[in-house]
Amino acid sequence: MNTQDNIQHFLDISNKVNSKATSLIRCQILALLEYSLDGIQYRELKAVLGVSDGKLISNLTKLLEMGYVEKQEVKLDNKNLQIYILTEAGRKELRKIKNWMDSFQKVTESCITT
Amino acid sequence: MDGLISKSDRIMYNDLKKIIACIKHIGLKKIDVNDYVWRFFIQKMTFLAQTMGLSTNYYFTINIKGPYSRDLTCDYYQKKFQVNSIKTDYELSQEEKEIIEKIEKNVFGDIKTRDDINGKMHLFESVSTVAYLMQESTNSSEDQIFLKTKMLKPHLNDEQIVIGINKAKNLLFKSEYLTDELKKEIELWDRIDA
Repeated sequence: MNTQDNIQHFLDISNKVNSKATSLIRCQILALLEYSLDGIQYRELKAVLGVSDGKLISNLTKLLEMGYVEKQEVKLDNKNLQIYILTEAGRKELRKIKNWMDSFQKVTESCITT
Repeated sequence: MDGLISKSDRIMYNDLKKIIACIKHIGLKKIDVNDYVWRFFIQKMTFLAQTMGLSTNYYFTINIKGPYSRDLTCDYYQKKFQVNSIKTDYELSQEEKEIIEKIEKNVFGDIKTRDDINGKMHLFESVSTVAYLMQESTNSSEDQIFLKTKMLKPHLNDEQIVIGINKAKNLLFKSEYLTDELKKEIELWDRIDA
């Protein structure tokens, strides 16, 4: 594809991505959950992302509402813990985001080289 | 999850057979990979066994969940029936049996049911995280390992981490490091105890 095609492809594919899923923290959560197929405990997500409870809960709630993530309650070591798992819809959305990022990279690379 | 395919299905499945044989050797009769507790147990057991010399090709990362292998996850989801029913044609060698027995003695204790495991999750998490860090940076002091574990696993309390460090040291200590000088020293201490 030439630069013109890359730009057009980038614009076309941009419309297919759910903008509500593309904030930094939401992309981080989706990517980490795709890696950790077993699911991630709330406390593990909090430790690895280093964000406040308020920020994490509000973003997880949005992802739950959009159906990209599901929550399971598990009793571990006599404590009730929440485990978050990526749903099939979440996996599809993540793939769209990845394709969008790939096309973004192509456009920016062609800008630099031309 | 059924559609997931690991990087190298053939190699990985041979590794999974070995892991199932380890589970069998511990004496467990039935497990359920749909249950988070069992999946957690398989991950930590596999990591510890691999660290102690059980040869598998599973690649483990530490960042999110303590030692965790995505390839292993793909494998047990793909071969759920074999894992849940603990069916394998792989026979552990004497050396492999000794590895799993050492982990059983030092970390697992007597585990027969899900509840037995559930009561020791923090211990598995602590020992496996410490063992990963010790293996990764052999020059780190115990204090550095303690702090790194605390950073990665803030929900573990100090006592749990210290126990993890002691148990990981027991697991990773190799008898060939037992020099004549060390043996003499141990004998001296033994006599004092007597």
